[in-house]
Amino acid sequence: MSKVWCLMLIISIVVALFMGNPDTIINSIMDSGKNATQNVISLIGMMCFWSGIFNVFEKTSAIKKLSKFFSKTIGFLFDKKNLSDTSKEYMCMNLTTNIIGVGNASTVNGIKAIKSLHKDNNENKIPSNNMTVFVLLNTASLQLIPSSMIALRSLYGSESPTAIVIPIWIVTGFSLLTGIIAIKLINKKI
Amino acid sequence: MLNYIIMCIVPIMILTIIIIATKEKKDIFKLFIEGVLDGLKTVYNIFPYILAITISIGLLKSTGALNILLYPLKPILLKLGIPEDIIPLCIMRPLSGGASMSVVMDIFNTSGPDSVSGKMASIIMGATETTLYTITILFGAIKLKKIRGVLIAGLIADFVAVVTSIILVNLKII
Repeated sequence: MSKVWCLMLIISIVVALFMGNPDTIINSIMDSGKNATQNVISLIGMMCFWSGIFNVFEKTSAIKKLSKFFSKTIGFLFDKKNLSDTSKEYMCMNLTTNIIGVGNASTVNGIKAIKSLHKDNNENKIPSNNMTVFVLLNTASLQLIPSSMIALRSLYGSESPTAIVIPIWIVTGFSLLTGIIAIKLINKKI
Repeated sequence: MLNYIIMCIVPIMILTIIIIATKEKKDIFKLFIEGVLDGLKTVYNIFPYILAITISIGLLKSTGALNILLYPLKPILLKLGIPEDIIPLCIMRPLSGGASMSVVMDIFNTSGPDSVSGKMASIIMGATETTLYTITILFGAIKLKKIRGVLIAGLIADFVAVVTSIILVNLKII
């Protein structure tokens, strides 16, 4: 990650210097800083709300049932040896919110899950196989009903805003399958 | 009707959580407040990562470095049958949600949501996530620098998503 980030900065700055627009660098950093802060400030309320609601949910017994259901269905993706019950519960809350499509809630639950997986891995500096598979699942869009896309399509006068739902399932299926195969192969090698 | 059902999902989820917790006689208010405090700490901890990623992507775009880097990719993508107006979307999608959304709106504006590009854009947008951002936040939360192959696997998955969307639309399935 650190390498990718440094490379992005170095390339941008070198290009700006050669293209003769060095002033864009500082302007761009200023703009990005403003944008990032505004985004985070506007997210705080929702993130905290979901964090609160799911803190209630994780103290109930329903989470145990949901967790069992998930271990039966997608448990085969993960290595059960280093997987604590807490990790399982957080992961299944994250996946549920991903499927329902509550972005902020799945971020909150995803962070809890990865922290717990990190603990299962004895806080090793190198992420475990479970962690890489879990993050990969989060980079795929598991959302069942792409509501924001449907809304945008009808806003722009589409004749059938929901026509994209099934193709999206097919595409997500293919990309998820490739992603999982890729991460499994990489996990074996590195 | 479908829209109404979609709108009901999240409120019903909240209601269910509260009902279950009430049944099990939990102190809901106290748990909620604790959770909010936790959420606040999380936001505080991930802010540096969000700032870092926003700055680096902003720089790549505004200095024109992104265009230069992608210049050699364009002919390849065109050969694969990807319409030209979709290319910026394919590139922005893993990097930035906001920027790719504005590309989609642009396509909807010029060619309409039911055009070939419009359909492709809708499917790509709905079937993928902001890969780089998600990885930064999740690994940032535990302050890990080594991410092994996640980024590569994620980008491969995104690429497959783009290709399948284009195939589906070209086959006139939708």
